[in-house]
Formats: sequence, structure tokens, C-alpha cells
Amino acid sequence: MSTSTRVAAKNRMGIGSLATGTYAMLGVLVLFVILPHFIPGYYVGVLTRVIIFAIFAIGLNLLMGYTGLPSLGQGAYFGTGAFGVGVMTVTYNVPHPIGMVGAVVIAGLMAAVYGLVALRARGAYFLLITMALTLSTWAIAFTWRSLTGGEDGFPGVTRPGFLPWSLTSEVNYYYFTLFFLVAAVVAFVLIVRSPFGLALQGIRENEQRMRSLGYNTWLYMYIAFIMAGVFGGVAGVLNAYSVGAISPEWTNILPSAEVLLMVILGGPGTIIGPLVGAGAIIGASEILNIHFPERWIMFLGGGYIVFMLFARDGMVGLVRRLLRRWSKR
Amino acid sequence: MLDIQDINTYYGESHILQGLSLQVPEGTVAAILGRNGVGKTTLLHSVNGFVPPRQGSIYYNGVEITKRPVHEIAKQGIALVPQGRRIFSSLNVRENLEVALKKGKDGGQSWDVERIMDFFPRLRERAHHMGNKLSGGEQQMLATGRALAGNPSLLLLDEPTEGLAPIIVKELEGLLLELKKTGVTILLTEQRFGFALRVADHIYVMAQGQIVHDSAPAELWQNEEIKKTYLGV
Repeated sequence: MSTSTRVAAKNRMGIGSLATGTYAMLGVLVLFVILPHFIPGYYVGVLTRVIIFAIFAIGLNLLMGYTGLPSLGQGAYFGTGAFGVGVMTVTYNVPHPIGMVGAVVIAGLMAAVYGLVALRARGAYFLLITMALTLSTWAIAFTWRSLTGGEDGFPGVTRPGFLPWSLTSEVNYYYFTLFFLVAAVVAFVLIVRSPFGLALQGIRENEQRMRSLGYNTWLYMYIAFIMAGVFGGVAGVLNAYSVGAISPEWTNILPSAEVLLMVILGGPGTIIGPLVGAGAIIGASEILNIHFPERWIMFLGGGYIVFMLFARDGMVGLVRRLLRRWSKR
Repeated sequence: MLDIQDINTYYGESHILQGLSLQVPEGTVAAILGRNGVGKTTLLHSVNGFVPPRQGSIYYNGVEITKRPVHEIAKQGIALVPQGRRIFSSLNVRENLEVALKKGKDGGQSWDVERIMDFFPRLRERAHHMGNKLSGGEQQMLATGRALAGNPSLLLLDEPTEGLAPIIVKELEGLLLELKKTGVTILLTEQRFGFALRVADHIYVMAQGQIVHDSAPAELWQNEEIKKTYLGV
């Protein structure tokens, strides 16, 4: 791909030109690096959660924002990644690095199988099939008590050491997850800027056209589906270590819907959108939960409706439009 | 050479193409004329695999392509420039071309982004414009360029002049004649009688899913009855 194309692609990634996009990313990174030193320990845990869900949302964004396939079933891979690492490291005493990689591979394999079923449909039907698949996964996790603990959950997941550092401290674990977020963002940018990424965007716009240009569009969508599953698996592994216990509910619709809303609210088809969405939704639920312990979900729901009505391109799209209007003055 | 033998194509229960046959020899331009709804687009879509015929066969360079998947037919060197152009609006002009870049079936890559932009200088001027910010003529050029990016040996053009101003039609006519010199085979559908007669080597007239007349352009020009009955000229 030529330089000019990269510039054009970058113009669409976030806010404004090549320089502002990159600076915005670096600014966010610096903020993430220094923030734990200025906030109470509890909020370091909240930020860790933001990071984990951002990785989760980046994967879905590849599928939904770039390929045009809205999945309501990403929880399957999130939960499978979590149970994978839990069962391997706790039940079978597998070393942590092998357990982590193994769990992500299992999540990816699950996506490879589920993708064969889900990609027979498009649009709303695709969404319903992915939802049914995640429900089936939940049913398996819920009833397979000997493996997953069933409704009691799976306790006792301990964090690994990482070179000289112990990850038991919240701050150290925070930096551990931040490392994965940076890796996920870099991988994501490389994917969407590659010819493969361009082809995904072509499929999102007009699948038939891409087929008539000689693309085996099914294969491209299948690979994107597996990639999204892998991102979900990574997020699940990190969340298992973060919480220390795993619930079958992680494979259910709730986390699937949560991550879907993060992508929608942040701005599908943009690079920074999933990060913004994860931060906004987890941040808002924390704040609202403190001030309105009984009604916070209502406020959150209201917020979703407002965005669906007035800013369907998400927060990134909204900011971009406001900036454009402002610069025209 | 494209060889269509007695094909029958349906949309659900509607019988659109009713035993249609035609041949397009290599390096020539064939034009299909006919009124709206006679099945011109369906014919092109039968060839490129969007709507495979239920009966009959289509051969391209001796290889049967009937009922093969769309992307495999494309890999045989057949490219469709659709009616309405269908530009990717979220990609810019250059990206629209880049996404379609493929080696030809013979492994040759005589068309790359630079050559396409040399051929359509307006596309170079607009290289960084988004697909949805182009005029109709520019979109038609981009759609044709995008098809060429796959280095096809057969171009299917579905009503290339639809909705274009006469001066742009003239420009397109020159470009198609240039394109023909490169050796590419072209099958196009048209409603503009004059345009078709000037660019094509052979004309097929369609009515109700069948070929009702075929001849050289000059011969059709003389045939008042066909012109009046089927083309309204």
C-alpha cells in the first residue's frame, strides 16, 4: 500500500489528520501509563477492567466495524478463554505461559467451529445465530460442573509471576494488561491497514461486489471471525486472572451485549472507538452506581437510546462532526 | 471467446432468459440492445455467476463456468462493471483501485494503479477523493478502472452510459475504443442506440429474454423494422 493511501486511511481513524490521530493515541497511552500513580487502588482495578474490555471490543470492532458482521456472541470466546486458562493452570497445574497461550488457541478453535455455522447468515440473522451459539456455550459451561464448577463458579485462579515482578499487586497487573492492550492496538492497526483490512472494508460495503472482483469473501469473513474470537480469548484470560474466579455467566449474553454496546457507543469502524466505548461504559456504570445505586442501569439505558437516535456513528463520530463544524467557523 | 449456449435463467419462478445463445470472439466488442426489463442485466449476471442459469451452459475460453462460484468466475478473467457503478464509498479513489488489484489469469499484470490512472487522468486528479464524492462520469471511470485492476480478459459493462451527460458519453466512447485496442474482449448492454453502434463490432437485440436479431452495426442501422419494433428508434 502506498504512503498516500496510508495517510488517507489514517485520516479516517480517529480525529483529524495523521498527526492528531497519532498524537491522540500517544496521549492516551501516556495517560494510561501515569494514571495509576495518582488514583486510589480501587480505581486501578476499574482501569484494568477498562483495558480488558477494550481488547475485547477491538476484536469485535474488526468483525462488526470493519467487516460489517454484528455479533452478539463474543461472550463465548471471552468465557472460553477464561475457563481455558483457569482449568489448565488450576486443575491441571499447567505452567501459566502455556495455559495462557493454550486458552487463546482454544477460543480461536471455538471461533473456527462456530464461524462455520454463523457465517451461513448475514445481518440480523448472523446476530441471532451468534447469540444462540453463545447461549449454547453458556449451557455447556453451566452444566459441566466437574470442569467449570457450574453455578458455583470456578474459584482460585492465581496470577502468574512475570519475570522479576509479582502480578499480585493491582498496579503491576494493570501494567501487565496494558502491555496486551498496546500489542492488541498495534496488531489491529496493522490488520486494518493491510490489503486484507482493505478487503474487509470492501466486504462491509458490498460483499457481492467483492466477490465479482475475485475475492472469496467467505474466507475473508471467516478469518476475521476467528481473529475476533482470539481477541475475545485474550480478554477472557486477562479477566480470569484479574478477578481470580470465573463464572459461567461470562459466556452468556450479558458480556456479549456489553462489548457490542462498547463498539457501537465508541464508534464502529474507527481505531480508537472501542477504547473510548469501553472507557465510557465502564466509567459511567461506576459513577452512576455510586450516586444512583438503584437506578444506574436506567440512566445507562437512556444514554444508549440517545446515542442510537442522535449519534449512530458513536462518540468518535460525534466528536469528529463537532470538530468539523467548529473548524468551519 | 465467450460462448453462451441455450441458457435459461430464473428469478424464483419468473423465467427471465429463455433459451438464449450468443458468442463473443476474443478481442471484439459485442453490444446487447433492448428495452428495460428484457433481461440484459440478468444475462450479464448469468455470465459472472450472480444469477446462475438453471439450464444451458456458458464456456469461457473452452472452460465451462456455468454455476461456478462468483469469485472463481472472476479468477477466470471475467470482470463486471455493474449498473449504477457501486463504488466503495468509504474508500478513496486510489483504495477503490488497490482493493481490486489482482494478477490476470495468465499471471500478467499489465494494469496497475499507475496505468489505470494514466488511462483515466481524471482519476489521478481525484485520487484522494472519497468514492461518494465523485461525479457520475468519474464513478463510471472508477468502476471501469476497478474492473481493469483485476487484469481481466473479458469486461462485462452494464449500461455504462446510463445517466451520463452527452459530452461524457463521447469521452467514454473514445476510452472504450482505446481499451479495445489493448485486446480486451467486451460485452456491454446499452439503451443508447448510437453509442452501441459506434463502439460494437456486433450487435444483439434482446426482447423477452431472447435474442431476436443479431448483425453487424451497419446492417442493423438499415433494418427499420427491427429498430422500430424492438428499440423504439
